[in-house]
Parts: sequence; structure tokens; C-alpha cells
Amino acid sequence: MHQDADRSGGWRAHARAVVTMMAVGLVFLLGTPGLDYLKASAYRSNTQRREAIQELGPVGGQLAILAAEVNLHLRRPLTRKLGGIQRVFRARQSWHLYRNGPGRVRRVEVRVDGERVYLTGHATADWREAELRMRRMRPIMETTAKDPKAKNTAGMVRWIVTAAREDYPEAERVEVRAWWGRFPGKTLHLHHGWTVTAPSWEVPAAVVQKASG
Amino acid sequence: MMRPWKAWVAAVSVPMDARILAMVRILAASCVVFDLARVGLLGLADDFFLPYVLGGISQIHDSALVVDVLFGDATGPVLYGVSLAAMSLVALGIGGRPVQLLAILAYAQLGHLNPPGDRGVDRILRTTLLALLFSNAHRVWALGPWLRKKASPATVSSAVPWFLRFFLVDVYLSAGISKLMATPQWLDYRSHPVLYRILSDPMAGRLDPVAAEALTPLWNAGGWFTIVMELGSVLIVTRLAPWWAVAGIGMHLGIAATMHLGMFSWGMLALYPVLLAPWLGPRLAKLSSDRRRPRATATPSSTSSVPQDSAAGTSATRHDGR
Repeated sequence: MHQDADRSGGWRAHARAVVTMMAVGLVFLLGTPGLDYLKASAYRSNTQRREAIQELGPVGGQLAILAAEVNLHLRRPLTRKLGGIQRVFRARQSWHLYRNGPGRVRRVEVRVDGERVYLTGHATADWREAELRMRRMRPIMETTAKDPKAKNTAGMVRWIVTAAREDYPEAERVEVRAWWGRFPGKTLHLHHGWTVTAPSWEVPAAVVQKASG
Repeated sequence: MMRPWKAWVAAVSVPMDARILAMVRILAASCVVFDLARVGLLGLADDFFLPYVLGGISQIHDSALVVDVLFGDATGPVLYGVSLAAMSLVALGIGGRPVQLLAILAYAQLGHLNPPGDRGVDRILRTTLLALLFSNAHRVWALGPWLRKKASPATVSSAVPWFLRFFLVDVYLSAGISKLMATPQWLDYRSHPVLYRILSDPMAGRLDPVAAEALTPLWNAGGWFTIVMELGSVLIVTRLAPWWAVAGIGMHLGIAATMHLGMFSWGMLALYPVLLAPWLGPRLAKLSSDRRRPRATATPSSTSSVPQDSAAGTSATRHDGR
């Protein structure tokens, strides 16, 4: 009976509808599809705006410029004011799901005393693959393959070296190398790498190759 | 102006089988439990959740990490243990809302401690569990109330399910639009399929690039399907939601089979009972062995179908005798 009254429009039903709509609206505002990736600088200069109109046509270009204006002057200030609560729960409404794929193909190779024990995606060189493929490890492996100066590469290389010394106690040299290629299945070239040796086992700065690519 | 509002009021007030949301609670928390348990089984807990100076991998920590003031060097192990234990209790339905809130906060702090390992799906699951705090999902299919012989509610309002449906629209629509904005080749059959590139990327994909190249038309079709699914996610707030969900299940199983993304697909599928509610509700009611307290079967179907849903909900509530 009480619920029937709610559905027909009792104050509780209206309150629930208002709160739900506000919650839906807040999440939509914080992660507005299409605007969530738009930079504050998008379509700001006259050159950018001319290019947008040339690229997207007069209607599409004006719509893109309008969207950028709304994003800059309305959505972003509101997001800054209302978005603080997201940090408490680490629930930022920006998900970066299902990327477009990397611009280059990259693999990480691990060699122990010159013998290859791991190569990303290799059928047999699969030492510690479960760990190196783990979803929490993969982003750091990707960074290690991509940017030799990235902050987490030292920790990643140190982890690899420590694990290699556990599994190969006699080892004297561990190499971690990043191979790059232009397209899946095509030839890769060595881009950068680290060579860590006994007895100090200290991780040096990466050696970056000069080859183009 | 009043008519859409009345429809919305009715839609969020329709009673829904509480077991649907309980299912979401159990699945979402279980995903986190299995993921954290796997971290432990692989012996990686210290590597992920200790700072670099103490032997951990990551040198990046979010400034929103605050509990390190309390726990010092033990922050990582404490947060890992509390997150694992509290999420297990959430899945089991013990401790109610306080434990669920603790689980979310501890898991959030764990994410702040190791940002590279905290992905979009973690944010989605935390948002979902936060939304469930505003329902009675913690009292249904829950060990705590069962042990204390407390009755669980048969129905909940559809407010939280509606929120979750709109939330999923946001997630998928954002993914679809950002794909097309960044790489219009998703729709271009003449260029190399973006999907092929993703699935054969050695870092995340499982496919052999040479063998997979022979199946270019399949990857083109898969790419179009992905875009159609993501842009078509607005169907989630219509009566077609269960049909969209069937295709969505196919998409996520495909992702799980072809990519190394851990719990991503399972975490997303944890929300799908809400989309499948119009089909699950009646089946749950049929399967229910508790004849003394038949469950309501009404489920939100679409804004436009609110009057019919309301009628069904009214009938179910009468059966409930509440």
C-alpha cells in the first residue's frame, strides 16, 4: 500500500526520483562521453577553429567548438567543484577502457647469462609469465618497454633481476631489453635496455640504441 | 513536462527483485576478492603494495593516500589484508553497510598506493559498490542476516538499478566516442583493422600477429561490432536492455578470450544482472523454493514502458503482503 502510494507520486517517490536523477546527472557531468577526453586547450585558437571547420564542415566544426566552450566554461569548473569526493573513493568517472592499440609494437625480453628466458607473447620463452602478464604488472611492463626514463622502470627492472636471481642462483648477468617494431608480425629492433651484473646487481640507467623507429 | 517526470518517478519506484542487486554485490566483490587473492598467490602483494624504498615496484603514489600516516611501513600489507577481508565479507553478506563502506575505502586507498595497477574496472566496481550502499542489496543472499535469522527484503526500489544502467551507458558511450575521436579508422574497412592491432599487440593481446592477419575481415567486423555496441549502449535504458546485454556478454567473453586484461571482462559482466533483470526476475521467482514469500518479479524495462512495469510491480507487491 505504501509502495503503491510512492509510485503514484508520494513525496518519498519524488524525493527518490530527484536524488537518483541528481546522481545520474553528477556521474554524467563528471564523465561526459566525448568531453571527458577533451583538453582545455581544444579549439581555443583561431587556427584550431579554422582547421576544425575545414575538417568537420561548417556545422560539425561549430558544434565541436561549442562543445569545447561548454567543456571549458561549464563542465570543467563544475567538475572541479563537485569532483573532490571522487578521490576519497578513487572513483574518478574516467575509465580509459579498451584503448585503440599502441602506435608501435613493443616486447620486453629478459636474458639470463645471455640466454633468452622471456619475451613478451613468446610461446616458449615464458619465464614468470603469470607474474609479468598480471593485470597490475602489465601497465608497468608497457611503460618499461616504452619509456626508459619512466619513473617505475627502475622498480620493474629490479623486480625482474631479483626474480631471475631467485630462479637462476648461479646467474651473473641479467639483461632486460625493449624491442620495438612498426607493425605486428614485422621485424623488431632493439630500442633500449638494462644490463645488471653481479656482484653489485645495481640497476644502471637504460642504454638507448640510436636506431630509428 | 510533467508526464516524463511522472514516468521517471514511477520508474525509480517500481519494486525490483532484491536478488538482482544481491547478485551484482556478490559478483562485483568476488571479482576484487579473486583478483587480490591472485596477487597473493603469485607472491606479488609486497611488490605491488610496498613503496619502492621498501622493495616495491612502483615509485608513483597518489597524494590521496592518507592512511600511511597511521600505518607507516605496514600500510601496504594492512590495506591489502583489510581490502581482501572486507571484500570477502561484502560478497558473503556479512557486516552490512559499514563493512561495505570500509571495503570500498580500503580498496580505494590500495589504489592510491599503487596507481599503475588500479585500472578503469577498479573504478567501475568501486562506483558500483558505492551505489549499492543505497540499496538493500547487503541484506539479500547474505550470510549475516541469515545467521541472525533476520528476514531479507523481497524487493528494492529501482532507483539504484536505474543509476547503474545510466552509469553503464556513460562508460560504454565514453569508450565508443573516444575511440572514434582518436582513431576514425575503426570504421574504415580499407585501412588495417584497429581491432587486429589491439588483439595482436604482444603486451595485451593473445593473438599471433601473422596468423591473425589472414582474418582481416573478421577484425573489421569485430571493430564495427564494438563501435555499434558502445554507441548503441543507450539501449541500456530502454526495454531492449536484455538483448543489448546478450551482445555485450559476447563482446566481453571475446575480450576475455583474446586479451590479457585480468578481471576486466568479469568486472563489467558483474553489472549485467541489472540489464538482464527483466529476464532474470521471473526466472528467479520461478526457481525460488520459498513458497511462503514469493518474490516480486517486476523490473525496470524502459522509461516508456513505465505504466506497464508499474502495474506489474503493484501486483507483485500485493503478493508480497507488505
